[in-house]
Amino acid sequence: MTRQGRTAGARFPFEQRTLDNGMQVIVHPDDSAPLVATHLMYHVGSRNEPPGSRGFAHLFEHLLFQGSKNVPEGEHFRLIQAAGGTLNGTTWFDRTNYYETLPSGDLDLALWLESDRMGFFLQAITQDKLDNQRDVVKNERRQSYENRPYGLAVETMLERAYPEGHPYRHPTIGYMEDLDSASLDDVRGWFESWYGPNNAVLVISGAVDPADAFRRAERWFGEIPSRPTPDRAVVPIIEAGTPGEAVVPDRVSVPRVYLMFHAPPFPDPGFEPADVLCSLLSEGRSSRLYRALVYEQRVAADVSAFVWPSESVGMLWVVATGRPGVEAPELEAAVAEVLAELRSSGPTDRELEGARNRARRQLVRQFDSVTRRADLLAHAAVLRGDPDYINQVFERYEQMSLDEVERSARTLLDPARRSVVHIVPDGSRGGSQETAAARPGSES
Amino acid sequence: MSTLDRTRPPPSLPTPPPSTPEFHETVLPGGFRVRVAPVPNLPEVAIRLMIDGGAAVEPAMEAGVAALTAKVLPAGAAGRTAMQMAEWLDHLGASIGSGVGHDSARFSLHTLSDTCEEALDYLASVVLAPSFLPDEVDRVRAERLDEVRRIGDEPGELASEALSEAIFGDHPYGRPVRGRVETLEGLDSGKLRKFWERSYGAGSSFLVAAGDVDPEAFAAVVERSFGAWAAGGVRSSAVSLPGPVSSPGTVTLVDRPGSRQSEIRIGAVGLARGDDDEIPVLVMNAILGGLFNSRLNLNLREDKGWTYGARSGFSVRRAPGPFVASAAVDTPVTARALDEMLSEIRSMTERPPSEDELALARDALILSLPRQFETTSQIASKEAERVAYDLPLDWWERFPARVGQVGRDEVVRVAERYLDPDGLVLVAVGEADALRADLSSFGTVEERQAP
Repeated sequence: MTRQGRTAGARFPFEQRTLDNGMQVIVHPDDSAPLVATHLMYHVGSRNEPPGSRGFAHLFEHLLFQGSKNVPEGEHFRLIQAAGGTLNGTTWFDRTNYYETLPSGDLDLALWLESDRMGFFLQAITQDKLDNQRDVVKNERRQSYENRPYGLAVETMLERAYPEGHPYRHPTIGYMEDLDSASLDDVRGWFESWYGPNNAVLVISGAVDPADAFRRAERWFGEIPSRPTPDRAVVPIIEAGTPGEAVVPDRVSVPRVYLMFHAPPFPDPGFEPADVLCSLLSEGRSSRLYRALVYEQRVAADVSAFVWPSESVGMLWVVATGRPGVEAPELEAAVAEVLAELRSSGPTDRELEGARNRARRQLVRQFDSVTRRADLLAHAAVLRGDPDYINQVFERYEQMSLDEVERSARTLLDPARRSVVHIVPDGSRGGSQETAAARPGSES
Repeated sequence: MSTLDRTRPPPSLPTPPPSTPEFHETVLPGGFRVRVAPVPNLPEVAIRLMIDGGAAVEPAMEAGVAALTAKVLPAGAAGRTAMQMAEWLDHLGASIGSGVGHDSARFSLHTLSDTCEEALDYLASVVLAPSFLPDEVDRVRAERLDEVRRIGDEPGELASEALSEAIFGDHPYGRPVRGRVETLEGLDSGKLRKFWERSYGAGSSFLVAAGDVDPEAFAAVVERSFGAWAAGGVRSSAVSLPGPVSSPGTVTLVDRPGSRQSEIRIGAVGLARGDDDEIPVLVMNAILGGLFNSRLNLNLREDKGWTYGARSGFSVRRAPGPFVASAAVDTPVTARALDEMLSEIRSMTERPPSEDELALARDALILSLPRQFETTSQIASKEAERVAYDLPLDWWERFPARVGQVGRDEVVRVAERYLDPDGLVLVAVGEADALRADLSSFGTVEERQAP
């Protein structure tokens, strides 16, 4: 009844050029909808923050929406919304991105806004804007981390898994005391160091003619001079986890256990097998962890395993939430048993086949909007130096071998690579109070 | 190209109109409607199966039965055990999700086109031939009870639940869809089966698909998988919902010691889906709190810095649903934030929208349409929603013209009608010791402990 085409046949054509000022431009034409997505990714993130400035890359991202020389405060959002578009920006360890999706006739609007803040941002920044967005970001930290159950797990893990001074040791949201100390001089310095055209990739995807899109990109961005970018600090690869576990009491009624294994980063050929490993562990109710912990032993309410597509060092997470009455150590032991079993005997052919089928479907969904295709092209270009990854990724998953996944399990699921955080009820919420009492909030 | 002028926004170039997906309808024996739109961009299909049996039609004593039924269905069906069903789906690679609201239950299926036929077989097994094995029902109910008991962990959810209760009282919309501990404890395999027999039937359900399919061939496959479905099921539009009664003026304070912020809500009874005022209210709400550049967000976030975001919305349902304004704010400014929210709500009548505000709201709603119909999942969801609420076939075609007609007087009129200051209820979830005194200025404070 339907086409039997292999998804590997999906091709997403794109062209790329580098402007004289060093800015890389990638255009992916696709006229299935009258839309255009622009995605401007700067190769800078929280890992580039100097000591005492944790959270600055993200605070800076907020400031970039507060207007530039020709764009009055508040106009950036207003103009995009008035055109029927949507926009956002996000910050991650390795990159900061700014993106818009608009009716295809409004490409110039996005290019104008993005080029004005790349070229003429400093003329418009004020202490008031900094103070206001600092308050907004502090409230973001309160809402999304401090007042959210288990919200401090990730930062606790990063502090535990990475040594003092490691660029991945702190979360992008940063810490209140560092946010408080951010100054206008820091803003100027960050902009001058990292926001030149030579440190950015622009992706334009959607109903555009490539030649015309390149012309427009050149017109809006071509005159912005390149500037020297600081040397990138070498990121030490960490192989060994930290023994024991950090125990953090929180306003929760059941415990949650976080395991993080040092893993291959996004550009490494080991990334996709690690991703498949996670799929075998927790995707679907017949997956290893779900079946054992939620279905059979009934010790967990939910389980998940995933890899973060970070640039220089990778992280494989396994997270399990306990059922009432189950204590964190018991839960951790149950997780460890499943991981050990997968590590020693490897997956079956049929399991791998299922994981491949799921990956194929997810990839298609991941590619079904111009916004998501622009996102993947930008990530591939900036973090892997290879935008054509967008056309290789299907085959990479379809041809994944049992050997590769077995090797990945053996190497990565080694308990010696693991760090552990237990978030436990603090007693204020009922539930298993003994856990909190027996394990006060210090690291053990 | 002319000289570059950076001092003003560049003009828009013409954008071609979006191609409207065309739905083909087949009515199968039993009255089961199947609507399919070919969208051959990628080898994928998005499917929505809508069941006219949401939480609003369940007996109050059995609150949560609709949602629990949907959750139990895949746990054993058509002679397969729960784990065999899971293995089948996981190997196929398709994804299925269920969502139960007050008005209907929705099953969402996403599959590659080459596994579409088998994915439909899976879906049909789940919906037509569930086993309701007592052990599995007990297991799933225990999982649901765990979830309900954990609600105190989530301040935002606590606030939303307290608000629904304050707005709607005993009306079904005042109950959480997933039920309460007392009602869930009384549910068993027999009650679930009874609910399923009553609500799941060809005559009260329909299926929508968008993707890389041939409509005729697709309908034939659906007929084969779902053919055994006898007509039946209660159309809940025929079930009369009582008009909601709210108790305005109440301030609910939920004490959650140690909170780092306060979750605040202001709400009222809004309007029903398909009401003549729906479109004017959409425009009015865009100005108040529907857009980033809305009065609420510009005030509380961009001016005051008290929150990461403030917003408002009307949830339009079969009977009038809630109006909700919400934000998570820094504890010391909680009362002031509520005060600012109230004054922005009042401002919709006291300070009628400017031409700029109106133009922004209308343009944002009209020009964003192509973006909302881009993917197969979006197309299928929009169509499922249209059919579920009996909206006319040309609803989306007429949408731009109808939005375009909404002027200032109409915005003020609907603001007066739906944002009556005397009809508002307030909720705050946070550190009660820090909030109690200040909140009493808004009315009688009813305080309770977070569970």
